[in-house]
Amino acid sequence: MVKQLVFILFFVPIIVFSQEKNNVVDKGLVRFQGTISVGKLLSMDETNIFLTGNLEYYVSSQISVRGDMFHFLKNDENILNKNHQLFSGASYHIKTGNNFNPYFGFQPGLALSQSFNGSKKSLDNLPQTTSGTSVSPLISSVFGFNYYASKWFHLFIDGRLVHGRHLSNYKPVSLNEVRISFGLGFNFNALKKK
Amino acid sequence: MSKFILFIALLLPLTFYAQEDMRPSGDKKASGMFELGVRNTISAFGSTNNMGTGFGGQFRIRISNRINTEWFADFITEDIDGLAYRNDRHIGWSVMFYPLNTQGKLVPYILAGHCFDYTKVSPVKTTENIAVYNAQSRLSSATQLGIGTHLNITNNFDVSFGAQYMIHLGNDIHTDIHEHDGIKELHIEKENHNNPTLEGHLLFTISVNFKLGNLW
Repeated sequence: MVKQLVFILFFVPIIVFSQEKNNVVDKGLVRFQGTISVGKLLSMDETNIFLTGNLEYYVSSQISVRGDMFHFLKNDENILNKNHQLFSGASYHIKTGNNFNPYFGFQPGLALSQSFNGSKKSLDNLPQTTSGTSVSPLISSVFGFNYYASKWFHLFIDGRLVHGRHLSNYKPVSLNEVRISFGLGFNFNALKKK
Repeated sequence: MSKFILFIALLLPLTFYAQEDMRPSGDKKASGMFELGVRNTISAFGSTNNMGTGFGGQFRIRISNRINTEWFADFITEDIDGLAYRNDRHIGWSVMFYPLNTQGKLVPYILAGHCFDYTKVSPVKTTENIAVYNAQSRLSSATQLGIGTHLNITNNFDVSFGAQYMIHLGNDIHTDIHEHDGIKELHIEKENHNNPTLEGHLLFTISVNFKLGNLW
């Protein structure tokens, strides 16, 4: 309950200050960011951690083309040794008339993945071996919002649903995951001179 | 037999719209439009009865108001009951006909084209599976027929949904699973017939596309 309250309070300033007149969201807007992303596999009790970055270009005030990369940081709980992912696609931005910019999108992607015969914890003292590295197609949808605090930077919360399957010479591993990232991003308009 | 009926059913729209004027309309705005996009493909009802997931991309060059061309490449992976996995690499092209409206929010199309593919089926090592068979691969050519629609979000951006039946001509690779005393035995066989065989699957595609400009 307390966490929910803190979460709501955190968003109050965004709603209050989203009445700004100078709209940053326009054709030619370029935004980029680098941050940490946390994901929860849907088929097993494992948490994935990624270093992530993306680059997005607004072809109109409502449509953007976007590319994302995720560098997997493995830990002892993971059954995957590698799970680096690349996505490209488009997002639709809902018009709000201010700098609060919610969106949803679709991004096909690829994973460079490699699995273990078991997680380090589950294998106890047995030797941990790895499968062959494989490329796995991914389907993903994104949703979230950007809040453009100025014409140079913005804050964002980005959610992602990933669907895929790691197939190799070892047992298949589901890559289905819900993922979240947030932080500070940078932006400029490539078409406006001032 | 069911595949044959499906094939005929897919051909029916062509019969209905065969009287349409498919000649280039000379519409300067539509003709020459170059589009670039990415897509996901779901492969279903293939020989293994499993579902595959694919990532790919395409570009389109529109040659007239009613005719568009799509040039694509896909990478599709499929889990065969946890005992083997299949990778398909497709490269090909389709011609898209717009029999109804050519503009608006929804623009339905019929497509037909050709594809070349490389397929590889590899075994998985598990405790309950004896995978003594090596991976098998083949090259084949294919033809496809389907229907779909563009959902034009803006003048320069669309999301496209399509379903197409693709039939491959080449040597068949098939997998058989036998169980003896709780231990599964996987057979991956490539049939090197003198007479090539046909193998088909249904592909569902969702893509996002950006219109980048007119080439002419």
